[in-house]
Amino acid sequence: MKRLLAVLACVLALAACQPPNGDGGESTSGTDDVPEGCAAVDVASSPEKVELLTELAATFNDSDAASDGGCVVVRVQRKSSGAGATALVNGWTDEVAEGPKPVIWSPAASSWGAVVNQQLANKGDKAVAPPGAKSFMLTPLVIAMPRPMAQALGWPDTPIGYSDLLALAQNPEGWASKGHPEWGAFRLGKTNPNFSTSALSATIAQYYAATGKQRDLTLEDINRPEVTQFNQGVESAVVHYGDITLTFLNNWFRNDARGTSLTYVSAVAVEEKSVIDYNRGNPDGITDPGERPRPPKVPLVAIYPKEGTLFSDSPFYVLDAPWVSAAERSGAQRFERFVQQPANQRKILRFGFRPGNPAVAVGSPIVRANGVDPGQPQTTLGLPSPPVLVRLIERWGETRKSARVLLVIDVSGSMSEDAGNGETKLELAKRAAIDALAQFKPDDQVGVRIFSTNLRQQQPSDYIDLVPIGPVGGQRERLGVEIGRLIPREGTPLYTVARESYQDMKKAYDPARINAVLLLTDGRNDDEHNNDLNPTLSALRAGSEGLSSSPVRLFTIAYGHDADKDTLKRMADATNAAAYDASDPQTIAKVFTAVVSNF
Amino acid sequence: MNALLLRLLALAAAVAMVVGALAVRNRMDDDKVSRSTELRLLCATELEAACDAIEDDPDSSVTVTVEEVGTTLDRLAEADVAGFDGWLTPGPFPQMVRETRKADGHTALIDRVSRPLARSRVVIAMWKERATALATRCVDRAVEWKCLGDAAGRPWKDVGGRDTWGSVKTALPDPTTTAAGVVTLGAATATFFGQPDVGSLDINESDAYGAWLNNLKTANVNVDVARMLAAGGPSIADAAAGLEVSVKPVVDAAAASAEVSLIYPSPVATADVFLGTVTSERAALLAELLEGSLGRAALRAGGWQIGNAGLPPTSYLPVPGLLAALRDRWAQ
Repeated sequence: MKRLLAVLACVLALAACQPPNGDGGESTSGTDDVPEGCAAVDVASSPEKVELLTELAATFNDSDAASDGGCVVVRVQRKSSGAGATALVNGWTDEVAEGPKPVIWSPAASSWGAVVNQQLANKGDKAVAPPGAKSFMLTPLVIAMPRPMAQALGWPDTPIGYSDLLALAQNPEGWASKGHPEWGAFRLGKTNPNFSTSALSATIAQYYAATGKQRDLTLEDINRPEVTQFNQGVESAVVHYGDITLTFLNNWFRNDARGTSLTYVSAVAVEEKSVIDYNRGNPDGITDPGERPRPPKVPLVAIYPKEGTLFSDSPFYVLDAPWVSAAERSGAQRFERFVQQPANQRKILRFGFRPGNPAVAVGSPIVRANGVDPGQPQTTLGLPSPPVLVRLIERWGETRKSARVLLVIDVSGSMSEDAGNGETKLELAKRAAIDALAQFKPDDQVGVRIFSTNLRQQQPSDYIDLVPIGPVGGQRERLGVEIGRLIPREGTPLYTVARESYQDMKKAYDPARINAVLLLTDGRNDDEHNNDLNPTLSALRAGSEGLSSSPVRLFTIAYGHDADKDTLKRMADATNAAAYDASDPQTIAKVFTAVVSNF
Repeated sequence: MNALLLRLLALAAAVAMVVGALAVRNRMDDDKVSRSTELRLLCATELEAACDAIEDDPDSSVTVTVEEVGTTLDRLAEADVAGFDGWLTPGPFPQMVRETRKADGHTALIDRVSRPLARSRVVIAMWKERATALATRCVDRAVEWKCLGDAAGRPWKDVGGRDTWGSVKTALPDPTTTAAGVVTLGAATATFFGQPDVGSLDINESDAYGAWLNNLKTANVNVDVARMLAAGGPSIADAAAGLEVSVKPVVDAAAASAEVSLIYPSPVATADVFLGTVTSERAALLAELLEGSLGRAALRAGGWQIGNAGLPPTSYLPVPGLLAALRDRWAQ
């Protein structure tokens, strides 16, 4: 009788899952609307697996598994791990901004689940990420290095670890100590652990290396002076931070084409799959239509730190959240079983990840020819307890390399246009900039320059330093007040301000800091006195290519639909920085936060 | 025989027939009740597959709830009602509840505990290369609990392995939440003391045991055997322990199966499946069902061994009270 009922339920569920036009459900996919009678299982996925999960969701939605036991439709949305964690800690209150409340949350690593639960516990709230979540797929954190550099350190015969990199970073001779003076100083690329999983893992690994431990990192360990000293030593070699590792990989790839990849950065903490993508000529891991990947001249190799590493384990958290119904939970569990099936797990390999199901062997493309080693790592590090994790991120904020940043803000007339919500573009940008000031630590140095044509009579007439560069701790309020007073003016002398801001920062370069210009504009150059882009690009490149002793990065934000995105990208690329897109003015706060994560 | 006597006999026969008919009818009604009454079975997570089979059987009317043993133990410690007719567990957990409640002065919620219905051995899955290296430091060159616990947390280079392997990492199921965890810890403890007859004084007063247990605890990584075998190598954990019924299928199916040894530490210990039932007619019906052919078939289909063939006569586990003490000790 029960079976009969079950079959009947299936039939009914199947019928309920048919689209209204009865075309057999062919249109169901990972992003479809939910037919009446079906439960929506929303998945918030970290970006690296969105494409794969969307494909699997579409297959699932078309399969019997989606209807057997109650009709469900799985929908996948992209959500970076850090952003997902923040939204969950805040109760995922704004579905317009954050997307639908997820039933499944799959960040890149379970460390994010621990952070969320701890932050909720700190607020007296219940944990939402249940323990024991299954891994969808895996990839270890590695240190990517150009092969010649790794070989100079003894790779592949000699195990290499963070301690070796620290020694090299602190050696005044730099690469000359390894017989390669032409490579200059050792330079490290790291992302920001508030945003990036690989950065969070790298920071954990770094603290373990500093303590000589492999597990059970404690709060006392983190606060020990020698540990702080070790970490400051590692951080001192950082060229700049960032929200995503792709910034480094893209810059590296571009430098490879120019033959300068060995002088951009020496090592970057990334996930193993990124090394595979890079060596296949596809640093972002996505093959666009018509794109023909071209392998780099100098390939990267994955160093599996001898002290141990961590895996990004893509847990599938079926959330213990008040908004998850029993039907959604049941559907989520079915989808989880579905993605664990060997046939679906084999698809994971295609993307350069290791399958979470042990029944599926690790194979191509995770092979030595791609710079990675399927037999590595040999050991892993213990995930610190949640309170330690949270403190570790805070501590990183205190010990990270300090920054020296010039905020260059466009106050041209077009900034007075409506941003789409009744406010002007300038009003939105001012608020975002003021909010972003909170991300700087007290000893970071920040100044504000505004630009527009004919700002004043005397030279320079196209820009004014409202607040000279100085320690944020002493002028945070003044920075906020001055930014708050900005009003729209005339034209956009983009080329002039970009070049001169860059050169001013070069002149006052501080080797102990990340030196950068953050340029925000909503338009394109309309300065009749300087309308040739090439001299500007040449100046930027000349100061950045090869063994520059004073690298300054020019990060750009293209604000609004009329911004000259192409030019801004070329400017950022010329200085090995990154261009950010805030075409939708409503995204400016998020974009500002992402840009400031580089410092 | 006179007419009066014949009449009396006929009357008696008629009464007997009526009584008999009523009795048969009553029994038939009872059968109807037994077939239609929902019987509530609480199952430990490790028995989920077997319990699902029982629930799915068309001739049963069993409603199954699956719960980690740790959750049930904590709830039953002070509950006024059981909330189930029967509780099926891999290990002497109903007995543990009876002992704990008795010691605390509570009424016994669980009226009856079955004989062992099925069994599964405690097993360690270990990467072969690392098991071979560790065995050189073990008595009789065979990895067992004492040897593994002594090595746990120490650098591999100190216990026969390579420097690059880091420290010895074990993956034990959690004794605070899972039945497999309590049974595994019980088996390991019995092996440490060389006998299952272990008292609370032994585990509390022995410095050697305390150090050994601390090693196992601090070296423990919170993963299961599937996670240990994923990712293509032994970096996550060196050895994962658990019940054969759940560990062996994962190892057998793993792509890296040939690189893994299944170790049955000597003496062999087992998780024996018990059914604890409350006092009720429904509970009796449930016991009849589960201790009968349906229960046996479901447990066998779930990978559990029926009977003692090839197994020792007893589980080689400490008494339930000591298992409870071990669970508390691990939680500290």
